[in-house]
Amino acid sequence: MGRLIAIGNLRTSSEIDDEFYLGLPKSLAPWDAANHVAQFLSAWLENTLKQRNFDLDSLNYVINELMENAIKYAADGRIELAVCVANDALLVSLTHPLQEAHAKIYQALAQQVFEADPDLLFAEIIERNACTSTEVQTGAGLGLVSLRQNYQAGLAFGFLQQDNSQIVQTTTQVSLPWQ
Amino acid sequence: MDAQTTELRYGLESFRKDWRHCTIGSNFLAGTHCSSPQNRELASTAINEMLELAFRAGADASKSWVQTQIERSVMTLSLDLTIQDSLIEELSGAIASFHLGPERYFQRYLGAESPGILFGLSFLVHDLSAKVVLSMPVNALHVRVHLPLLPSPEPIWED
Repeated sequence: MGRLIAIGNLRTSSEIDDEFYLGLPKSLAPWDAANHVAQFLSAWLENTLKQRNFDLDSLNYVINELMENAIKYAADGRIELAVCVANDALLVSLTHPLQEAHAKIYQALAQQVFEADPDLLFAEIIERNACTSTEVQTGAGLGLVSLRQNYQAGLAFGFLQQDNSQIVQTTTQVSLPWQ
Repeated sequence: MDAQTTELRYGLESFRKDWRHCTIGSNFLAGTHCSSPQNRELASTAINEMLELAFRAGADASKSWVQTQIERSVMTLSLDLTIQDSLIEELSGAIASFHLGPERYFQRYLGAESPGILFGLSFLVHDLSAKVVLSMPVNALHVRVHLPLLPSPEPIWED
């Protein structure tokens, strides 16, 4: 048995019919894989998105942001990226394992990003980072806030922990409204 | 699933809207697993044939899977696909004839009347030793290829 904590309107895999799914081991995702995957996905979905006048750069940015976080923080295991072309929005979902300690930090950050005014939080993080040494700036949340601030993205998060496990399956879901 | 496996799953309907998906997908998957140009080229060629098979023969409103896995020095590629009803007879006939050998499959399947899937599938079977299973009545096609990878990333022209 496991326990799921959801922040925001998290859509589970049974609720969505993903058009595209990519699962790869973290060991095959070096730092530049974020850009590699973002470009691949943008090229793959180019036609579908152009039909809806969707800006491909937005998708590129979102995938890059999510993949960079996964590459930086994920525990060993699989990184799973799913895209669903829904009626109201493009839904991008990234799931990966996190060590329990990292998951707690990410969960607090996710709650903050979800609840706060994105403009105010963006300014607050910039200010905080300016006063902090670079060594402790990791996980500041600027990337997630920028998704809300610059792309009007809806965010949702899921944290699934199996009993007696130190690993938390973490999902970040970004919904980009059709323009 | 094995943690060292990369899996790509996609809806056939939108996949078949753009022929370039075959190249985009094969270049990505081969590049993810192979650092040496020779291995990448070999893997990309095989994956591209598989994706072209899905493009030509896949039933709309279904999904297809491509998996790539490296274990020791062998790369295993798998394709799972639901075939269009109209192609089943021809495909079953082609699969039954594979044991006859590779002779003249170029001439046999390159003609204008012959569906491209038979040429691509023959290439996978005869040149890359692919194993092919067609399961009826669900029209499920499974193709698996084992590619021995070159051990060294050194360019072959240095010999």
